[in-house]
Amino acid sequence: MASTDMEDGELLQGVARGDQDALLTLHKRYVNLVYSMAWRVLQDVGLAEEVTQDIFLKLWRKGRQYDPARGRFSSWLLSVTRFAAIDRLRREERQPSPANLAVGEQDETAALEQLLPTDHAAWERGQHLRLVLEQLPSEQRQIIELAYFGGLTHSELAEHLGLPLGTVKGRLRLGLEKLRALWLDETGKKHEAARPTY
Amino acid sequence: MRQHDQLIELIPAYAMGATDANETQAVEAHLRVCAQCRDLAEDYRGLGDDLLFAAPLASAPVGLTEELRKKLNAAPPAAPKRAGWLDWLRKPGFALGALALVALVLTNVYWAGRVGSLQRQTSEFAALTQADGITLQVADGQTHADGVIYLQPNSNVALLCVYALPELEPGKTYQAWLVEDGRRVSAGTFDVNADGYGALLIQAGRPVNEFQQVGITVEPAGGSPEPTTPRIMGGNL
Ligand SMILES: [Zn+2]
Repeated sequence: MASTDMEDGELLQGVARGDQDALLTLHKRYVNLVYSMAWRVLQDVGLAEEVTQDIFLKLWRKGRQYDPARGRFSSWLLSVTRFAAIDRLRREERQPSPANLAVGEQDETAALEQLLPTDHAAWERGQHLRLVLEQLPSEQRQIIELAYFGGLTHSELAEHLGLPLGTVKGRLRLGLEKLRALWLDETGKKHEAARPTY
Repeated sequence: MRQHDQLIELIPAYAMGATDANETQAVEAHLRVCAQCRDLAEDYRGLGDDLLFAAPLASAPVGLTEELRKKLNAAPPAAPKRAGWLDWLRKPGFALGALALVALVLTNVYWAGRVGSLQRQTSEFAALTQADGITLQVADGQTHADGVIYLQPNSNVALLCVYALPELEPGKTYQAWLVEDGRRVSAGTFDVNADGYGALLIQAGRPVNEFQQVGITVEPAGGSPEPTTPRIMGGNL
């Protein structure tokens, strides 16, 4: 069987045996997804590229770190990427910035094809969640993005935004509660035309 | 109950990794005893998982796969065997690794505020890579890591190199120790890069081979006067 037709699990076993083709197939399959996360966090093409390559090199050297019992490979991979990118952001002493939605909208179809067949569904859910996020009041959306993609904690958010700690905690909590409610609503009523209420 | 009312408000932020260290500690202690908060945290973790796929799609630069193929040919294979580090040092691709190590050593020395003469450090480093290495034993739970210490008889200087150690959270550092008659003397602190490589140029007051053992622990940033956590790697000198 050609490596391009293999499931992630088989490819990971190949990686553990030192099969370069298996890793390169995983790279082709997930490079855009990993790069998108790295780019979203770092907002810098060069740094995002470095973090992306690093993630796959680590997979090569320590392929066994992924534990299938703890969820999908793609989620694990993106979670590792998020932490690595946030770590890089801190080491470069860069400030996290809001999403630049103008970038990255091109070539969606080509990239989407690369994701198939493994995680089309998860990707679609995520992109739908992004639209839901955009329904939040802008100050709540901003603080969620700074926390999640910028890796800032309560006290760091307070400093970054120049707001009292209590305000920051309240705003993040309300934003996340609202996002969750909207998301439950959207996923629950996916096929209904009704606007979500909250 | 009052504690529950306060901590449940932190659960959403906790699940996104946005709580401060003291809050995280309090939430985690509470999660062990409160099923309601555990369920809520699980719920928000699900939201966090979906957010992983919510970054705007950006196409990776073309040629990354080809570049990775080239890097693989210069990199060690997955799951290196225990002697992997020494083998790797002898590989042709070592030139790049050695440069990275020199940079790491110099960076660590620099940040430790112990810069004497960079030139001298570099030549000492070069001599040490020709020296015999002692492979370190790795504690349980660090199965992918490797370490080696290079020393020459009667030299006060040794080079400690680690491979595939996890990067530490902010506020923590790796610290090396030299052991003599059960007494542990700090040999300096170091960090590892994103690939898990780290190196420390140890400058002891007397020949390093007169000590009995070397060990590595994780300590608060800045280092500790004596180890506060179990050893993750070590060996007899
Ligand atoms: Zn509770």
